Amino acid sequence: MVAVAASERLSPRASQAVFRALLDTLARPGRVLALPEPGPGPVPGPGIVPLALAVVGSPVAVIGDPDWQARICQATGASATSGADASLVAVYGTPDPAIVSRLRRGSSLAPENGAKAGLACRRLHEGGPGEVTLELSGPGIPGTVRLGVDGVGPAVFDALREANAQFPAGIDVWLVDERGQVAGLPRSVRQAVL
Amino acid sequence: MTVAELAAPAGTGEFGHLDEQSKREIRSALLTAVAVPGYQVPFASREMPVARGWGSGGLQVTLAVIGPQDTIKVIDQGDDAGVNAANLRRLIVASTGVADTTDARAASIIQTRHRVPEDPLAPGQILVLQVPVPEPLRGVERDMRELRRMHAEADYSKIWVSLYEDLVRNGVITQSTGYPVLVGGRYVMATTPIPRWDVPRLHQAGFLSLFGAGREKRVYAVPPHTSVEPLAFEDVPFQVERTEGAACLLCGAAEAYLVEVPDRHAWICSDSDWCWRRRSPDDETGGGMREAADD
Amino acid sequence: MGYAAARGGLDAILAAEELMRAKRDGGASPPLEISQLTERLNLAVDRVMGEAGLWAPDLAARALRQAEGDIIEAAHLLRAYRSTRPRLAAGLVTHADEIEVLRRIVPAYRVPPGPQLLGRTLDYVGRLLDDGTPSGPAHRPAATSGNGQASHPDHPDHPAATGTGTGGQAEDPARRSPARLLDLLRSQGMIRDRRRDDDPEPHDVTREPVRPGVPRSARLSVMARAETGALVNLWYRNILGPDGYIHEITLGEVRHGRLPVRVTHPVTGQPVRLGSVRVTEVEAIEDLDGPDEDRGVFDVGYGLCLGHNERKAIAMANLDIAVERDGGQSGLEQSVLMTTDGLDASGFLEHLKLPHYVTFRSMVDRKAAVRAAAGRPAPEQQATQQQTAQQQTAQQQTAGVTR
Repeated sequence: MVAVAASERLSPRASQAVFRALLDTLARPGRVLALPEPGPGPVPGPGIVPLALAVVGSPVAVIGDPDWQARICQATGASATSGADASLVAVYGTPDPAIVSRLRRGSSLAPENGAKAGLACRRLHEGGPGEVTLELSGPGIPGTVRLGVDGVGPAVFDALREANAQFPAGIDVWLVDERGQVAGLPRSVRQAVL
Repeated sequence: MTVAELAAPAGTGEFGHLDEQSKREIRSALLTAVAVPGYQVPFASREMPVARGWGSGGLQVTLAVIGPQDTIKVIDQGDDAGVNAANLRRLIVASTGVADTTDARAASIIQTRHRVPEDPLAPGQILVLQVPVPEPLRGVERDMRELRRMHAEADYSKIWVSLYEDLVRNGVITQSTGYPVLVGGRYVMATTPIPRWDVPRLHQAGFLSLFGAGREKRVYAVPPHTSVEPLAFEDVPFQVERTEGAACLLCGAAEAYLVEVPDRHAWICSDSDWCWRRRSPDDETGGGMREAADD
Repeated sequence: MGYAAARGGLDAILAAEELMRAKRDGGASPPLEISQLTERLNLAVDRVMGEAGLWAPDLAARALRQAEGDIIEAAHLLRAYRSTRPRLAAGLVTHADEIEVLRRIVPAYRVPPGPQLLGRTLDYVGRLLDDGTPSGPAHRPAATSGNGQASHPDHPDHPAATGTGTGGQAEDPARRSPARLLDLLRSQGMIRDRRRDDDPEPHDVTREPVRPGVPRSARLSVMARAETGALVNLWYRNILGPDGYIHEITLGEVRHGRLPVRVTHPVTGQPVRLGSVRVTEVEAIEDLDGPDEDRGVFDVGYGLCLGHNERKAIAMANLDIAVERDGGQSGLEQSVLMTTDGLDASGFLEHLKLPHYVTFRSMVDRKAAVRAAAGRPAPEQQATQQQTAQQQTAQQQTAGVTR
């Protein structure tokens, strides 16, 4: 094992703080929260999901950024794998609907096998609007709420809806914007592009 | 390269007893639980300093979730001062250094055995419930493979039939605590042995509920604003515990969960701190830990 | 009098802990040394390690001492300790042929391949309570090296231990690594061959909980850590009924010996031996007799546990092949997987001592509701009626006496 720069491996304290943000946003879809301040060094963006959750040997797919792929695997001891096999995923750059469609969905017997994915976007707007405005309802949401997302095309949300159409199988997603804000879309959420 | 360097990625659990890898595994399971409300997510339950069946699951959930900024409250049967609650609280505080309180309004995490606090909980508060038996269909099916299929296919006919037969045989549904509920319109879930009194308080709640079953190695969750409906028949409304004329001997409350003091033919609040605050609203020192006054 | 149960809960706990310490460490007898446990009560120490799933003789002895001899409590202490230890590496696969035997018997054959070694066993020692005078050399001061190695050369963990107490003799190496009966039977085509070409990862039961349908490696891991009494009892009630009918295997191998433990060195990448653990290993031969089974061959059940614990390993091997043959038809697999863990079972049993008054009040409420629905008197009314009836009876008796 090669020593990894301290800035990339999340400290236990930071891991817990990130987890709480992931938990809160998944439990209340539509809310936009600030991730904890990153330490010195490059900002992980969507990679924060595997960085905070992976353990040694976790199958992790980092798509669109080979540097972050290497950093995340070294920092956590995770194993690099394809999008179709990963339990934890980070998608950098502009996400492609085909990537979302390929992610692991689990099954009704084993919903826990569905992937948890961080998706990069440019900017999140709690309450909307955005380049894409989503209307959300379901567990965690009183009535309906809106979420504005810049930098992700509507086809991605169509692909996500399709991937989550056989609940309880599905994918749980966090959108992470360039300001370090996060919003959660659990597979239980009903989302429509306005 | 030393052993200490080899061990570093695991973390040595100096905060919150569990090592970092264990916490991450529990956290992943909790996130799945929140995404699939009411589904029992398997997790690799660690042996804890408390025995199986004594809150090891609730403890693991709390230790995975808690951070230095949190304030913890621990209750058993609604009482902060019970021996088991006191033991769990000291374990949590000793391994994390977080502040503790008996006031449910001031706690960010409340770990509880068998009660939901009487105070309405706010968004941002997390309720961690200790679960002895997470399987709501346990009474109607023993084979674990069949249970798994039933939940996967939402085939809940057996439990509906058993409730109906109960009603026909006894004139009322005799399920006492741990009443089965339908969560998010999809999963039948065990409400742990909380009384029926507390079941409606999980429905469309403002707070997040996390359930930990350490011995059975499952966690599950109910996000806020999620429907939690007791399995009941349209023409037979769900009944909570009620004794006509009963009121708390100490604070006079009738609209709270009361427990009996049989040799006095009297009742007292199960939520000891809520009761104490009703009697001493100006005292900020927290009542649950004090000796009850001689009455 | 306070109305809530156990006021000042923390004070009560601290007082209880002080009482525990005073009784355990007090009294007129000398304090218990770790070496006394590892040397004189080594079978208890072995059992604790087996049920904890952790090879650590000195720690197991400490746990046993702290738990005042309660094996399940001691195993709990050890497992909870294990929960705090980080994982550094995974052991490399080691063939059981590498076990350096201290004892080896083959009941299936009078003259099996490879030597038998009776070794240290109580099996043929008469069950006569001895008169209490210490036998053998005069007592010598206990001296441990403190790193898990026993000082007495007859102790199985002593580096020079031969298991026969006659150390120093030149020895045939085949004695320590005898040939396996299974290899002979295999060469004769008498055993159902279940060896495989792939190399699946074993199911780690401490990382992923088990449920019916898990692979055999999970079943074996669960049984290796199971409570000894639970496995013996489960075996017995399946042999005799009422649970089901499995039949007794014929023992092929019973071995007690030291198994080397190796990992990959983190820097050189080469295998390196860390030391050894002592295990009990059993290969049990099953006579296939089912209508869909091949009656021309035998099948094999396997048992392995830490320490010297033959009854556990034998029960394990018999249950292993029974579950394999049962193929999920009965509840046997579920019983083995879900009900044999000592910590789970006793923890859940003893949790009944926790306060349950919230639940009980709810049950009483349901009793009242059932009675109301049936037009029966409510519990309070019933109590009053009984009281009145008793008073009347008492008055009549008094009147009868004074008459």
